[in-house]
Amino acid sequence: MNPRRPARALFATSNGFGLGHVTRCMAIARRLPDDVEPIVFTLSEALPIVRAQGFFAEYFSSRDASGESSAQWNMRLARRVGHLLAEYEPAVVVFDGTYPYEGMLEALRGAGVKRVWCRRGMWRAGEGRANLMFEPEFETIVQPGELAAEEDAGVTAGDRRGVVRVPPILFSDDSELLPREEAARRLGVDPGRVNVLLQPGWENEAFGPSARLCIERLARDARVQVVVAVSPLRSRAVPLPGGVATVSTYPLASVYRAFDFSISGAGYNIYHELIGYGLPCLLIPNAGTPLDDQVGRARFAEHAGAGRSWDSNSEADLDRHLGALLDDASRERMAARARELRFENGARAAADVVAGLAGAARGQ
Amino acid sequence: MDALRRLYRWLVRRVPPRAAWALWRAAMLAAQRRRGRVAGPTIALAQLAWGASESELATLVERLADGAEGDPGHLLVISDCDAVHVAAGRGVRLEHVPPREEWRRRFPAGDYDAFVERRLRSILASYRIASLVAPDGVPERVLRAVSEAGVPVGASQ
Repeated sequence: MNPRRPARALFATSNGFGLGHVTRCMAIARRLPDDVEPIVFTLSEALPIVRAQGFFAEYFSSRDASGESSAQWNMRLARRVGHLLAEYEPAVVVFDGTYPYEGMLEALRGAGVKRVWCRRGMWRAGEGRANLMFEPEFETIVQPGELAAEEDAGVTAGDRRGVVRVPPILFSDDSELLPREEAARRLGVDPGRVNVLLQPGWENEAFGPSARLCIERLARDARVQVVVAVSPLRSRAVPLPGGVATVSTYPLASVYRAFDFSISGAGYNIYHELIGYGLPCLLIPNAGTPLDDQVGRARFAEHAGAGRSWDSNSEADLDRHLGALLDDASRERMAARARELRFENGARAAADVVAGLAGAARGQ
Repeated sequence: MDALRRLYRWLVRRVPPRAAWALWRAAMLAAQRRRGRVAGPTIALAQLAWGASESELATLVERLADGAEGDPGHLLVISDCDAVHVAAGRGVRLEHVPPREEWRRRFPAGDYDAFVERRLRSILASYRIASLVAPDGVPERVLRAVSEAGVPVGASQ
């Protein structure tokens, strides 16, 4: 490595269904010190979003998109990662995902780079045990914090050797959120009304009917204005009822203060944003994900009083939850509980880990 | 790969974690040696598309996909345009190369054409490409990399 140039950190993200992995990587990367240059290597169609955030980015199509055998795809991936290591000479490679790809590991073995696995917890009970076998492939495992940790019955819960735990990771700090008036102006909504942000979980096919039901119910209250978050990933477009206002901005949290509550999935990033920024919420967890225990996460929010969880499909339950969220005093209580649960953004601590490894590599 | 998957499941269920990892690693190294002999996907036609906007890339992908006989997965576009969803939406393969300006901002002392040449050599070695179409203005050294890889080069239509 050339000692006169900044050390480089290559952030490799798995595809996933949405923006979770790549958002976590960017959250860490944007907090690196000036003497560590981040490069984002993504398998996600979010490439333009990554570039728009000012990162130098590389893309490689995910296996789902390429329709070839696993051996062929891993061969190509190993070749590409090897090419990137030769071109950019990173000191550290950070992989964010739950299952490290064999082609990537193959290229990293013996490459002389520090390897970090950024692996969120809260896996569904009994699932993913096999994934832990890859732990010895990494020098460090960074586990982003989980507010619902007490509900975590998965295999990554508890103390595991070599795991560095940091507080929950968010892309934006609280200070980066726009004030309500400005956020409302940007969205074209009236800040004097009860503004509701509907954030469908992109991977949750059941969310569509639930969302439509919520929109129907909310339309009965003249104070309410609903805005639906449309994924900036164009292949994730979902059909919407006519006349619904939409927002497609990144990071979406920048306009959270325009809203009085949100109806959302319970994926890691959205969940910690909602509670971290104190936005009351109705969570509709996706019980069908392979690893992510969204039901446990949503349950914790309800027990803690910071949100509501609707996983029963009962319309009577939905009416009860929406009634609570449409009540000003009840909503204020939820926001107050969320403020009590407030946490430091763990992205900086994770960046410190990466920078420390990069610095150590430079010193060698 | 199915055999590897079966081995993986067996190790996880039956063998203590440290031993499982050691055995898995040995199996992976063996697979890695074999992978060196795995042939890349077959590509009937590859097209270089430098400096294309999203709409130009979409038009190109449509034209290629509409004109393809059989699986559009046998078509490959190599481009510096980041609208990668355009190709995925039609089942056409896309290899992205960072654009010149962005690359130069990050590596001001580097030679972009040499970088593209190295990237192209890596891509060409990852597939079995029957022919490649290059637009006018592609640097000579890039075209040389293509012909040295034994891929016939055609002019852009």
